[in-house]
This record gives sequence, C-alpha cells and structure tokens, in this order.
Amino acid sequence: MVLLPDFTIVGASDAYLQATLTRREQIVGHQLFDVFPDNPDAPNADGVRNLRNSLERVLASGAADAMPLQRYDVPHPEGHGFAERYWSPSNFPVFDEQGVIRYIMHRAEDVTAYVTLKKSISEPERIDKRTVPVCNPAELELPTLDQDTIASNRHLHALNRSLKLEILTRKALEDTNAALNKELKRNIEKLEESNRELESFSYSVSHDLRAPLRAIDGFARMLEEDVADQLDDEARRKLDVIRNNTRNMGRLIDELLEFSRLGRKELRFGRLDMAALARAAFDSIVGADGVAQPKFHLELAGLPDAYGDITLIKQVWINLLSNAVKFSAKREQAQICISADEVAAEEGMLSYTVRDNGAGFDMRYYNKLFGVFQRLHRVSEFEGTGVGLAIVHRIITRHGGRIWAEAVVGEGAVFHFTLPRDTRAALGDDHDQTRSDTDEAV
Amino acid sequence: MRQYEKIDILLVEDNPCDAELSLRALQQKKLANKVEWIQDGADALDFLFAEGAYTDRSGGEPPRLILLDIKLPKVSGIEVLRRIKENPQMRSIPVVMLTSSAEGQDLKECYQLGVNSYIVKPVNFESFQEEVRKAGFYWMLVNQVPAG
Repeated sequence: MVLLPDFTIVGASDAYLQATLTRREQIVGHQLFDVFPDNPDAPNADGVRNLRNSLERVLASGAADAMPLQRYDVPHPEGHGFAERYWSPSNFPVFDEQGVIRYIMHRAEDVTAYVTLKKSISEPERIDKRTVPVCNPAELELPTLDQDTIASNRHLHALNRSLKLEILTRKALEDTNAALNKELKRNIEKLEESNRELESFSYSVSHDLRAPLRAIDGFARMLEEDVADQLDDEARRKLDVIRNNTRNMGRLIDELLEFSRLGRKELRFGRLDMAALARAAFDSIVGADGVAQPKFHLELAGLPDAYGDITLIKQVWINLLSNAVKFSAKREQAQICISADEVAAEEGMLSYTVRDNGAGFDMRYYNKLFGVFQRLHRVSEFEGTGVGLAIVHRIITRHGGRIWAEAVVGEGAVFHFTLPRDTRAALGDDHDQTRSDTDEAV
Repeated sequence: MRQYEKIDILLVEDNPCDAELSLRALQQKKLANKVEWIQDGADALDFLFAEGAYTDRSGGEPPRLILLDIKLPKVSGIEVLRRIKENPQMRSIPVVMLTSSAEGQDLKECYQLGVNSYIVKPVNFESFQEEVRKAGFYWMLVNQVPAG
C-alpha cells in the first residue's frame, strides 16, 4: 500500500485489500487512520499509535522501519465490529530525484493464522512439555506474494532470520529453564531433608536435655529434704543456686524449641483484627482493665486489618508488648503507644509501630537485637532469655514483612514491623515455606 | 518360682533418676508399696503378657495403672501402648504416658491409640512430684474401671 507523507492513501495491492477486508475505492484518497482506527472493544489497542510512530520514524530518518508483531484489528466490511488481526508490518520511504520523500510504502503481512496456531499449541502444553511450537508453513496459509519489490523481499528474509533467531533463543531459554527447575527440585529435596533432620534434632533435644535437668533439680531437692537438719544457710544457698540454674536452663530449652517450632509451623493466612489482637495481648500481660498495674498506659489508635497467621501474629504482639512492659516497668508512668503508618510500608504492606518510654537500648548493638539468645541488658537489670525478639523477627520475615527498631538509652524504644495488607501481597508465601528475607511479595 | 503379689502400678521407665523421682512421689502418697518398676518396653510387654522372664506370672492379675515413658529401649512406649489397647483383657487398664516433651506427633498418636492421660514431665522437682502424685491419685483412687 502506498501513502503520501501526510498518510493519505494513494494506492493498494489486491492482496492488501483482501487482507484488510477493504475495497480500493473505499480507502484510496482517505487518511490511513480514518480508514483503520483502533478497535474500541480491544483493551489496550495500540495499533494506531505504533504504526504512526513507525511512519514518523521513516519520515524523520529516511530509513526503512520494521515493526514488531502488532495486533491491529480491521473493521468488518458490513460495518459492525472489528476482526482480530495480527501483522508483521514494515514501512519504506520512496524518494524523488531531489532526495525528498514522496511516498511511503507500507507492507503488512497478515500473521493471524500463525499467532492463533501458536496460541493453541503453546497454551495448554506450555508448562508440561516445554516444547517450542514448530511452525509448518503449509498451515500458515500465507497469502501469495504479488509483485513485491526486491527490497521488501530482502526485508522479509531479515524478518525471517530474526524470527528463527528468536525461536532458537527461546529454545535455549527453555532448556535453561528446565535445568533450573531440576536444580530447584533438588534443592527443595535437600531442604526437606534438612527440615526432617532439624525436626528429629529438636525432638531429641527436648527429650534428652530435659531428663538430666530433672535429675539435677530433683536430687538437689531430695538432698534438701532428706538432710535438712544437717544443712546450714550456706549449704542451702548453694542448693538454691543449683536449682535456679536448672530452672533457667529448662526455660532456655523450652524457648529454643518454641523458636524452632514457630519457624517450621505451616502458615494459615486469614484477616486479622490487629487492634483487638494488640489489646488482648496487652491485657493478658498487665491484667485486664489495667487494674493490676495501673501505671501502664496503653495508647491504641485504630489499626488497619492485616493478613497473616493468627497464632503467630498473636505471639508477635505478646512478645513486643511484654518487652515494652518489661523495659518501662521502672518508670513511674509507663507509656506504651501502638499505631499504624500505612505510608511507611512498601506496596501491598501495612506498617505497625510499638513505642515505649522505657529503658531503651544502645543502638551500637543493634545488629544483635534480633539474634537468638542475644541480650542487650544484664540479667540483674531485666530478666529474659533473649529469644522473644528472635521469634518476632522470624514470624514477621516468614510473612514477607520487615521489622526494625530505634531506641535511645534511658528514653525508650520504638519497634516497627510490616505485614501483608491482603491475599495478593501474601500470596507468594501461601504455599511456600522456603522463602527467604529478600524475596518480594508477588 | 518367683512369687508375684498383686501389682497396683506398673512403672515403665528406663531412666533410673526419673524412676526414683516417680517412686518417691508415689511413696509419699502411700501409693508405692505395690509398684513394679520395669526398664524397657520389651520387658514391659513380657510382664503384661506373662512371656519370657515373666511366664510364671501367667494367670496373675494385671496392674491397676500403667505409667509409661515414651522413649524406651528395645520397644517404644507407643508400641507398648498399642499392644495394651489392642488386647481385650488389657484394654481397660488406665495408661498414663510420662514423657519429656509435648511433641505434637506423639500426643496425637497416643490419643489415637486410646491413651488415658498424657503428662509432660516438668523439669522442676515439685511440679514433677505433683504431676505423678495427681496421676496416681486420680487413676488409683478416683477413677472407676469396669470390674474384672
């Protein structure tokens, strides 16, 4: 088809008319885009824009311009609706003796049959067979070529080569894909194996470490009972030290096992009323109504619902609020403030904040804050085993969220964490227990 | 031939320290004068079914309560429990599992087999004594089982 530089149609081949369902008298003398507008019913139709851009490139550069595969629907001749069509278009300048562009040759090969064939082959089988759809020229029903220019033929050959190259590249990609999938499967098997080992490890830890502790505690106690009249205060103190330490070690084992159990637990996602969970956790810690310990003030703004595993998120609130209560217990008035900040979170996530006016911690040791058995205070100041925040970190990370904190010694601490807003943000983790900190939500 | 008096409680426990603690707790409640202590699962089955070293117990009355550790040498506590609950004569004897940890899989399996109670042995001496005493008291004195 031949165009003037202002995109008026001046002539067309029979094959072009046949392919575009038009008649010559209907299009010659008309503006190209009046005759071929975008299909208003096709979402994101971009044929007009892309073709115009290509033609303008030809006018600006004076060079031929090949467009990538383009959907460009054509109007039905009866005047109702559009027919779906895919094209491999290219545009060439035609110069006069002064070197000015007089015409633009527009060639568009109808590849609808090829695209349809490719779709029908690749869609149902893509995942299983990973085969490259083989294209049989006999099935493509290519229109017979009329008197095309040598240039356009050459161009077609170039297009053909690039198509072949694309197929080869795709085949190579699919081979790589298959290899990666195999590797992934092996890794998953390895991971499952190490999970099983971990499970049997924590099982035997729970059995085997507790039994000797029970004997130490029990026999120290029996000694105390049986020879009470022969023990002086110092002997009793030493027995007390033994028994206190066995209790501490029992607690460490319990918390370590809890930490490992929470890490392995399958996540069950649901909608969470975060304000209610936070309130319940706070009440269980200081006693309902704050009657038991009236000096703790909880400021709880409305919190948006998050999406997560209720058992685990309950634990997050309990651990964070227990810390806030513990570290602000020496204040005359302990202020604990829970709020939400939707702006601070990434796309699809919500951010929550717990702030207290307690002892805070030294930011120089921040890198230890979320580690297992890491403590930033002496046992004589604040008791604890150093597992609480490690558990919180693990739970939040498994939900695809982040947790971070700021603090000033003697002034208080602020903890922030993020959780998915809805199913979409959490979807990546729903069936995937192996996800790491760096993965992004889908 | 050995003489077996009527046994009230069969304690199956391989750890002698745990056994001593359990016996002491039962003793203090005057529940311990008729306790038989057995140290592995295979022996426990021989005792109950009058086999092996215990063939001369044949016809003897079964114990009124079995305290059973889960982790036992040779035959596990869960297997012993299965054999007891599969046997029509033994099925109605109350079996209390005594174990070091509340592993979900064990708990589930024991209840599916028909265990009567499941106790996690606390590290703390007083709590441990209390749990053993409570179990002995409830199953020996409070609970009623079908006659003969």
